[in-house]
Order: sequence, then structure tokens, then C-alpha cells
Amino acid sequence: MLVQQECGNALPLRETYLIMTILSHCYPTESTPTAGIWLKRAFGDAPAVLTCKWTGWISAWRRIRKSDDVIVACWMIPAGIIACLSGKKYILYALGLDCFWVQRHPLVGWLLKPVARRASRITFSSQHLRNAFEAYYGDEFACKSSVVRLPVDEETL
Amino acid sequence: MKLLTVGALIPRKHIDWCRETCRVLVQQGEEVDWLVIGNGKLKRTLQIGVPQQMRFMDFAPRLRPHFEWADLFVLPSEDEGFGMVYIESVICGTPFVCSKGQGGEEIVNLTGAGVTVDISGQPYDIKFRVAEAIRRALPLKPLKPEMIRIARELTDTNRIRHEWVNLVAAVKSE
Repeated sequence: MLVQQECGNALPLRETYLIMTILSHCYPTESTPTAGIWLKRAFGDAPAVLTCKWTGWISAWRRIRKSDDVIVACWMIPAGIIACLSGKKYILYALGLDCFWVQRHPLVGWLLKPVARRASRITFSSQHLRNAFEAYYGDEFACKSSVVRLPVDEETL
Repeated sequence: MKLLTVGALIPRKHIDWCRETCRVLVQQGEEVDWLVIGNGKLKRTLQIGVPQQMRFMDFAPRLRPHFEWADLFVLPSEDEGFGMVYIESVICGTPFVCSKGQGGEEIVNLTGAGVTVDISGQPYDIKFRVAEAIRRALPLKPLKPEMIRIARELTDTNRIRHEWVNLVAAVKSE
């Protein structure tokens, strides 16, 4: 299932200078308001969001191939893979278990290497994750990687 | 001591170690009130043989009152990328115990508001190590204002959105 959250779903589209599409399998919806809430905090309400469940990969791939936005692929699997196959510019946002999989399972690391190589930038939510990632890939991607932490919303905490 | 754990009731969060640690603390004569907030597939398993000093709550709409109530936040989890919940704890003025070599350790190093516990080795020993870490972390409350300020700055929403704007603009212009 592919859900594009636009105007009318609390996520107005194209109303700011920030032209990007968030591609994620986990993002707050009316039925699951807390799933991936930190992503919504980080990016605000402005960008387009493609919430791609496991059965919606092809639809998401088709959608972003037609888009001129910079894609922010949250998690290497599946969003990073879809973004990589789209041929578009994308920022890979590695958030957790994906980095540990790369570190622990060489086959996963090998399979995801093109995803990391094709990314314009790679961001991590902590230095710890960056270290886990670099434990497998070394400093091959160090020049385009950085740490962008997840925000805390004190008003709703 | 009032202890708080917040996390999904899934294996890698190791709420089972919290349960065992609660038993150890009670056996050692401590007065414990331990609240666990979270839901997950291990909910039923974890509540089997749980000490009466440990309470479970499925969900809390706001976490701040619970963080402020607690003397210490405890979550000895594995595969923690960053550990948002630790930083939320610090922002609310409550020190924490996290696992060594995980995302939480980074927050300990940056803020000084927590204590790490080594979760490697024999699972039998871990409950004693967590209990010892709890005793070391308790005197950290109340946290120094400087620790809270650092935690706030690390996760400031405006600054982080600004970082994203710069990143996307840089990629767009390439």
C-alpha cells in the first residue's frame, strides 16, 4: 500500500521553500499517530511524504521517478533501495537497525553498498550509528556523511 | 527509589532484565517503585512472575510527568541507534541508565547525565550490574542545568530543521 499524504491530511504540500519528498515506511498517520513521529518533527509539515509499506515499493518507485524533488530516504531498507533504483538525487537517512544489519551481516552490507554509493549525502541520527556504518564500509563514504540528530518536541513531551 | 522504563516490550529492549533487577533490588532491601510504560509482543511474558514493586502501563499520552516523577530512567536495551528516550529523560531533569556501547552512551558522553552498564557476558550477571549502575546513577538527580541545556541544544527542532534545509539545498544545487 502506498499512501501519499498531501493537503487535507495535515501535511500541506509545496508551501515552503523546502522541495523534498520524504520516503519512509514509518510516518505518523491518523491511525498510527506516534509511528515515526520524530521524522515529522524533523521535517515539519511542509514536505511531500510517501509512506511506503512493504507492498508499495513499485508504486513509490514510479512516483519518485516522476518527481524533481530531492528524496530523503529514511532507512536504507526499503526506502534507500527504492530511491537508489529511481535514479534521482537522494539523501540517505540511516536511523537505526539498518546500520547494525550492515555491521553484522556482510551480505547485507554488500547488497546495500550501491545504495550508499549512489546517495548524494548520508546522514545518521547519531555518531554511534555512523561508527557502526563505517565499521563495515570504512571511510569510503566519510566525505558525504554527517550526523543530524532527531528532534525532541518539548511541548508534547 | 522511583524507577521508570519506557520502551516497546520487545526482546532487544531487555525489559526482562529490568524485571530481574527489580527482584535483586528488593532482595537487597531497597524500597522500589518501578513503572514500565510500553506495549509489545512480550507484554504477557514479561508480566509472568513480575514483582509487586513493578507496574506496567501500555501507553502514556505525555511522558514528562512520568520522567519528573522518577528518580531514574532505566533502559538497558540493545541496538539503540540514538536513544531519543534517554535525551527526553535528561530534558525532564532525570538521569538515566543505558547499555554500554549503544546510542545512549553517546548521550552519557555528551551530557554526563547518565551511567552505562555493560550488558555483554553472562545474562545471569546482568541484573546485578544494572542494579549497581542504578545505585551509581541515583545521586545524579537533580541534574545540573548545564546537562539539561546540552540535551536541549542537541535536539532543538529549529536547529535540526535548519540543518535539513541546508542539506537539501546543497544536494539540489549540485
